[in-house]
Amino acid sequence: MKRILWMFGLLLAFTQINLQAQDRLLVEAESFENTGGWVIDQQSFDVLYSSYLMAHGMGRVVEDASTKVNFEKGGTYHMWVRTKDWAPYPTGPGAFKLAINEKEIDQVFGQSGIVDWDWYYAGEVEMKQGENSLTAKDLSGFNGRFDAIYFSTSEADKPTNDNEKLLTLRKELLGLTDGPEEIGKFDLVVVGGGMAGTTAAISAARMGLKVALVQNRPVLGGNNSSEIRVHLMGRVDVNHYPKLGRIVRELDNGDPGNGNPDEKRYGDDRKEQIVKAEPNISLHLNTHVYEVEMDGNSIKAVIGRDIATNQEYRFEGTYFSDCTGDGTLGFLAGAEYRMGRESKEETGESLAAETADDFTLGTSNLWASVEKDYSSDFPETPWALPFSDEYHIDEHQSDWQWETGFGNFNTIYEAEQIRDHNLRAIYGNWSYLKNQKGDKYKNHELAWVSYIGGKRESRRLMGDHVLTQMDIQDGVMYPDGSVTATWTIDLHFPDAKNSKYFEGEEFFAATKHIRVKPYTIPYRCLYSRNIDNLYMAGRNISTTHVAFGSTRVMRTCGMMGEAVGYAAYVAKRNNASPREVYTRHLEEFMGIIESPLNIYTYPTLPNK
Amino acid sequence: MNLTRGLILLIVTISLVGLHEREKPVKKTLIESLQTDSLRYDMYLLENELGQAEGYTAEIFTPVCHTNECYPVYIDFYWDLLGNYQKYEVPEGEMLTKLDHIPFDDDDHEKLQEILSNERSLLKEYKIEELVGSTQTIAANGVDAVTGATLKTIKNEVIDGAVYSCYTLWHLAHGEMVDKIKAHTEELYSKVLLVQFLESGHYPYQYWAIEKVIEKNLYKDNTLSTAMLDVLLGDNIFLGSYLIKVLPMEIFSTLDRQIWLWETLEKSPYRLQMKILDKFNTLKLYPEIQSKLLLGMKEGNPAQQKMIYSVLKNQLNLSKSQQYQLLDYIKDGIWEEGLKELLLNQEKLDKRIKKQLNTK
Repeated sequence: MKRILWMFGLLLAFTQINLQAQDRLLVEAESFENTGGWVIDQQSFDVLYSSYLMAHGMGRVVEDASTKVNFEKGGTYHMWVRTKDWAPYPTGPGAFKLAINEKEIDQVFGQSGIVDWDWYYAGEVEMKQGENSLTAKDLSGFNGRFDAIYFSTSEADKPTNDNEKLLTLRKELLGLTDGPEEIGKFDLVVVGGGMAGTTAAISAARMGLKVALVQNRPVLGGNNSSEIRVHLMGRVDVNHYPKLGRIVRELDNGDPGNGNPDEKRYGDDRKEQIVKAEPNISLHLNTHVYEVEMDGNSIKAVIGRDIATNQEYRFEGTYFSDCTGDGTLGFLAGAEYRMGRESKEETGESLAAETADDFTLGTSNLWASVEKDYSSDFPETPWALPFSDEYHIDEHQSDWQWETGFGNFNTIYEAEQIRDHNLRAIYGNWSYLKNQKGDKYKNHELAWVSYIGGKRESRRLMGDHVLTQMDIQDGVMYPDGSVTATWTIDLHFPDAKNSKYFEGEEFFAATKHIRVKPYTIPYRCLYSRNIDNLYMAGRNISTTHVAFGSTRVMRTCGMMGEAVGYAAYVAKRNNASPREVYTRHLEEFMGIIESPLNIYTYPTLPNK
Repeated sequence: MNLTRGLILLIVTISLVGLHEREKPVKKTLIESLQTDSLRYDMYLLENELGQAEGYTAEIFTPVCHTNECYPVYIDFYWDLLGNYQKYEVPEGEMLTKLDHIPFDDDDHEKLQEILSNERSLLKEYKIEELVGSTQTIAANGVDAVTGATLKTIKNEVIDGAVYSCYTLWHLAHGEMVDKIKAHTEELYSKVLLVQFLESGHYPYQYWAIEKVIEKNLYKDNTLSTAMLDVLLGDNIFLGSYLIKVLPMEIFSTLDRQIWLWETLEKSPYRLQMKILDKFNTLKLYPEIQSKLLLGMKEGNPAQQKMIYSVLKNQLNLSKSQQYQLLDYIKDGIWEEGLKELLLNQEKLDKRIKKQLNTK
């Protein structure tokens, strides 16, 4: 036995030496200098630890992506591509090819019939010393994708496919081992730039805090951005404290409804300009936070990675706010959280499930077509969900009902599968309408299909108070009640007819609105009960699943952000924890909620 | 085969077009007359030139009333043989009107057609009183207007200014007359009708006929079982999936039928393929099919391989050559552990294979 171990050790040492002897190079797809018509998708970062490029052309071939790669040594390399067949039924549409120095490689990728990400051997390629060009050519416009390309002089050097081990390899080969670039120390670091995160950053900045706002997309607004296009709901005009909601109003670009084909209606620019006008906000778009440094029960810093360049950044902070929606930051920090439904027994809520389970509300990928004065074709989509005269969705534009999840998929770890399922529903149905209902749809053309999933429910981080159905329906006014909510308890479930035809893989929702009177969410739902400097705002605050059904709409989430900004200010001023703002400085906090002017005397404007 | 399929589709299309478009059916037989204070109608069975029942029509007169004001509505409804509403026509010389006797325009007719076609309309749930507000609003908006709190929910389900008409007509199109139609069709029941239904391409007929054939064990009749199986070749994936689920095993007891099922699998969409494979799992398979499965095992994607393996693992009487084929797969690394187990479970495992497996 000893001898075997000894030999194994020798073998291992030999392999190590061997590995170091070869030349190798990793090219991340998302880092292509020219992404052409391909899009950067970071939604599976928490699974893959990387973004990837995707040819989202709604059925039309997208423009090539290309980049330059420098090789220290020229010669023959073995090449692997990390990709997948996203719709293996039995083979998907996501075909693409690669070219090196303008020379196309024969192999077609993306149609292996295998849904898992893996490295595909692409054979031997000749690389020049110095600059080489690399081109990705989409062949279908139907969401072909690749994560990275790997070159090695050794054929035995196929890279690991284990996502965590691959992260180590990525860091090594991308030269990220020296650690992240320091961005600085902030009073408040807000992670997530949806409505809640954006308002939290603005609110804190206007109170004079130094704020970092870190968002993992190129735009602010989250579900209300032009990338997802969900309209703002919840009222701001019946607040118990009427001065809350003013930042939400500033960001509100009017109501274009859900999935409006005109992206401008969602006001990405408005949001960004408002944030950029704040001298106290350091805005970091395209940065996904995936690591956290702790100091006991406090977060010391977060580390984010640029979703395109992979450059890492470190943000140190006194306070942090988890506005990620998924509760990503809280999860990384070890905050207590719940996900799924509690049981009636646990919460005492009449609307709770009989037994606890993993059920969450789903994710929407909205889409819209527009009518043109000419007719157009759309291909058959055998890999998509099938429809017939018996069942199809006879609509030229989507609304909130287009939704996948419902416990069939995990909103966080199966975000890619959920999005892809939504795409298969959209494309399958659209293909049916275009090819079988030509009279009605021949002049309609897909104008927009979201490739970013609009999530409704993920983790809920637990605070000192957990908002319940009873709090809502009894209209309990706690001393720290600060954010007024008005939306019904709106818990979606699969539409019955959709379930009949797609049981276990539903993509269409129904709901029952349980009406509520305006009620006010206590401050204690907005900070973590076990992480000492962590706030939260948005859908991931401390509520039960049932109560979340009402708090989750975006104007309400935006007001939570405003409140968190004020609370962080009070905490900073008093050198207190979020909890101590409640136990020791509540009056001061509630004073600001009532009106920021209560503590902040603005200078009078000079006479002209 | 494609030609046959195309031909079937063509016939189906023609017969469906016939159902919807034909101005005057060849034969029209009165089956029921009703006369009450609030409703008068004559209901007819419609037959085509071949003497096949095609649908029903009712020539209806009903007053649409609110408070003290009524106006007469003359309308002809058409249903299929199972009482699924198809269309309406207004008899010559009559017209539908909105409040203040404004006649329906083309858009109103299109909208009414859409409203009446929606079997699951919200109109089903509401009482008429809930749809129209109090007498106060009548003065303001006229008799037949959408008003009040219900407006938002119900607005898409009614025509402005013709709420009463929409409500009354919807409940006629989806009410008691439908039950009478269903009952009458049950009386028409015959093998010819079943075949006609199965071949109709009209899925409500097809579901109805499949249910009857299976419930009454009629699939031993070759004409019926063939007509029923051909439904699998149609375009309606949901109907195909339903059929494959409910088909009794006996129907596939012959080699011919099993081969037919395999060939159907090969030309089916993926989703149906998987369901057909699942069906094979319930059958006692002929060696020919076992061989086809073995071949499929090599060619399929992982999900298909998994499904094929789930069928194969119950095949414990594989021939010697099939066993050798499995051995080759194992050597090629295809589904190694599972196939090894399958071999070891064989009732008559070839001795040399056994030896090879044991020495591995």
